[in-house]
Amino acid sequence: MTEPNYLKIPKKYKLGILNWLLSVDHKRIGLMYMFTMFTFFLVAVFIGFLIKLQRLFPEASGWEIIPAEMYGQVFTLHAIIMIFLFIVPGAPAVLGNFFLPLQVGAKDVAFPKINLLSYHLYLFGAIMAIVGVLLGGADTGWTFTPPYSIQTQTISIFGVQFNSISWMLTAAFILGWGTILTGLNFIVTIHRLRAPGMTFFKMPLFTWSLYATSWLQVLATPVVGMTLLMIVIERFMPVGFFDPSKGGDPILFQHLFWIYSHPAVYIMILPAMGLVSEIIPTFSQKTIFGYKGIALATCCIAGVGYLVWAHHMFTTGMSEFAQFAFSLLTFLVGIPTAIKVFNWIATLWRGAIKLDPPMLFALAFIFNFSIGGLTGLFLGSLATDIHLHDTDFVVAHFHYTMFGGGAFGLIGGIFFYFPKMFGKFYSFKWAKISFWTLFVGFHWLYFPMFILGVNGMPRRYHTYPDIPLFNKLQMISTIGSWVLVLGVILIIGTWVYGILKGKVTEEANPWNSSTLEWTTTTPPTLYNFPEVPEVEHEPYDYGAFLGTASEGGSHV
Amino acid sequence: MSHDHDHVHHDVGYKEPILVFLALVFLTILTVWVAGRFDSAMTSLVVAFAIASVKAFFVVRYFMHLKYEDKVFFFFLLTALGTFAVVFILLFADYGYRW
Amino acid sequence: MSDTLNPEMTQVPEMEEHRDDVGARLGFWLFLYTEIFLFGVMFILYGVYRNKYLDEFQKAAHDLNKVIGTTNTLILLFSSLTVVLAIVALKKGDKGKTRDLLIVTMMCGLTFLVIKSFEWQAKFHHGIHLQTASGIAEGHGSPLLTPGDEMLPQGEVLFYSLYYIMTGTHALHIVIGFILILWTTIKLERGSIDKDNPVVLENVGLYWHLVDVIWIFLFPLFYLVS
Repeated sequence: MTEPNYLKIPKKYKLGILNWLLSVDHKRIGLMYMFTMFTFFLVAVFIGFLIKLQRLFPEASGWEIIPAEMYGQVFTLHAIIMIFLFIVPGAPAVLGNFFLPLQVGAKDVAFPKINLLSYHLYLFGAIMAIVGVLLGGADTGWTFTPPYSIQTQTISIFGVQFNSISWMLTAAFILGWGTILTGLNFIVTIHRLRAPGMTFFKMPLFTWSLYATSWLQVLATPVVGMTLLMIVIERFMPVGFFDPSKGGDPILFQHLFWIYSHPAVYIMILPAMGLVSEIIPTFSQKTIFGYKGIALATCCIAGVGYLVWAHHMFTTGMSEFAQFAFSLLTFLVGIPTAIKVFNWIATLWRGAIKLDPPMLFALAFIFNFSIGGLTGLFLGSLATDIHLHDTDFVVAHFHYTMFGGGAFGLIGGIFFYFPKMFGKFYSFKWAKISFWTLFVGFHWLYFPMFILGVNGMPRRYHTYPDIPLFNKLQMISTIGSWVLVLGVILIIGTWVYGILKGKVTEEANPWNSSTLEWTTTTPPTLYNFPEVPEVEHEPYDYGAFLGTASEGGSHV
Repeated sequence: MSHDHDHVHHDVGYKEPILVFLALVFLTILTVWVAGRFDSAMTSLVVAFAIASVKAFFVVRYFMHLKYEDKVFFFFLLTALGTFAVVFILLFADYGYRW
Repeated sequence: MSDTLNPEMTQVPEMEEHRDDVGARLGFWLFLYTEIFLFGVMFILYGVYRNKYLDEFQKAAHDLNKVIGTTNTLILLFSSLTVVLAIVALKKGDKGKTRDLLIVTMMCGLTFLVIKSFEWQAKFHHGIHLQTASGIAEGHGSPLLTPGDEMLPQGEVLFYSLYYIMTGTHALHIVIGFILILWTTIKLERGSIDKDNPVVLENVGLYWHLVDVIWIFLFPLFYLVS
């Protein structure tokens, strides 16, 4: 009798859902994150849809979908969900949890019970945030800048005033601990549970990216946790740390806030880059170019990324010396990123390229992220930033990197690992249709915002004046958002249909990939490997690997 | 590093911790004694911080057992403290030149 | 980690309990670094504001009681010693001594808190205390710390705010440490911690040492640099 896969193990609890909510199996935890996160993602996408709808016509036309007094709460909620509930947990929570132990040849993560705790902290914090919205939410922007964040009082939907900002900040604090514990778990897993023969420089690149990300999670998140707690304290007890009337400095809050929030964007992007590093060699059937370069570049990005935070603050009134120092450091962080892009492209060259859905997303990542990254240079350069700060240019920049990069990478990774996770295949046809819809809609929506920003359109504004250029571009952008939303729906639909009715497969390695996770059964058994695997060849070594690989091939 | 072995076995005894404690007491008395004896506020702060660092070094190395742990524990410590130090210093790129 | 209630279903193999003491300690150290960064934020606030308000910081530090501060420092250092000795005793198999040393450690923590509360009360007596926003709205401002005619100079207000928040957070961690040591003592009595299973005590010890190290830095910064 063969061992059942992790989805079909005998039930421990009679009440079905408890076998998930109380499971310490990293695979089930990864799936729970996936379902929860994408549910929140859809909510936030809908809010984004409303925001763009609000921008369809200028103020003079009388068009108003979101009343002005509510607009602050609306975009704040969009950001809080997208950042704290979706992209920060992101790839580590879903694919990291599921595949890190598999990639290193382990039975589970180092601390499975703490892993479950992480998920419940996430769930609790998320529910708390949603409840907080009903209590009045936050209208400060996700950046919670004082003095406004100390003074503002919002009205709940029940018509009364709760201290909802403090509530939201506490929710963020709790969510932060989930992230920290996940990072802690991954670091120890990578150090202690690698299979025999797998030295650090034989680890797959997704694992490398999770390693660097985990350090950022552990060392950066506590900073913002304490800082947000200070705002809560200040709201209850005026201690004056950020209050000028007591000698405090509001800019100090911004420093502390961005000391986390800049590394946070590397938390969002590095795992997606790691997934691209897995997908590109697989769908080129070629060893990755410059493995060590990518691994070390990953660590460099994490390290240097820790040092650039004040480029979010060039216009706040910092010293000139600080502006200069941070601008210089910001330019430096582009170098390791460029190394990665060149290495990916060099991998493609003369590879046996297959444009299956995961590959489409990986290639789109490179395209989108390049645009996003290059536009970051205009923001990192002091003279141009004065003009571009707090405009739609910034909004476009971070959506290109975080969505066009981070989310595209995550989605591509899910298309890549889908058969292994579920033992089923999605429809390639619909996957490709949804990719193109999303891709076209994405650029249609966000590219005009660069131009709007350069021409002075501010961010976080609920409407705009009746200027022909603005009218035209805003309308184009809004229509693009409709295409994008359709793309999102198609992707989720393709997945759901695949999970429910997709073609069943038991093939261990459908893409003919070369890393350890593809040697497990499809789907994996509870403890992943029947015996401890031994690692001999380098990762992505298609030369050595092809001699032992099973027949690969694409599936429709 | 994926095999399961305990850290280096060393003779546990009561003597070493007690000696370390005495050193810590001495350093505490020292830091109280020199407080306020310097003209410059900066010197005062640097000396106090230096003595505190030595005390912390003893606690970490002996009480917290870092001396007997795998090298990786030390690298973790360097990573964490190094990151904090760099952030602190970089923050003064603003505050050192503004006030 | 058995996942089957039905003994006849032998398909899912039993995984032997995975034990990795080094990994457990490594993970705990990582947790300690998060605590260091948490406190680090407050040290950053101290550093930045001291830089701006040097004179006021020095004057306010002068008004804190060095004797009390030093006493508390020595108590905490001693409690760190006792927790290390408790681990030594455990490794030598001397359960009684381990328990006694842990109790001494807890008593030291309690003493620290009692002394600190006396210290705070003395300050309250002089009107130097924090006040809630609603309290101020009702006119119960702390005359020395909240806006009003008698408010202290800005630098001193910040010094005392930092003093209360930092020592308060530190005291909270002593309470947590106390509870952890109590829990460990109970586990010791029950036999789930012993000579061959020391890692829980080792990690709790690490936590206690961290609380000690934080105080090692708090002490001079608030009491000695005047």
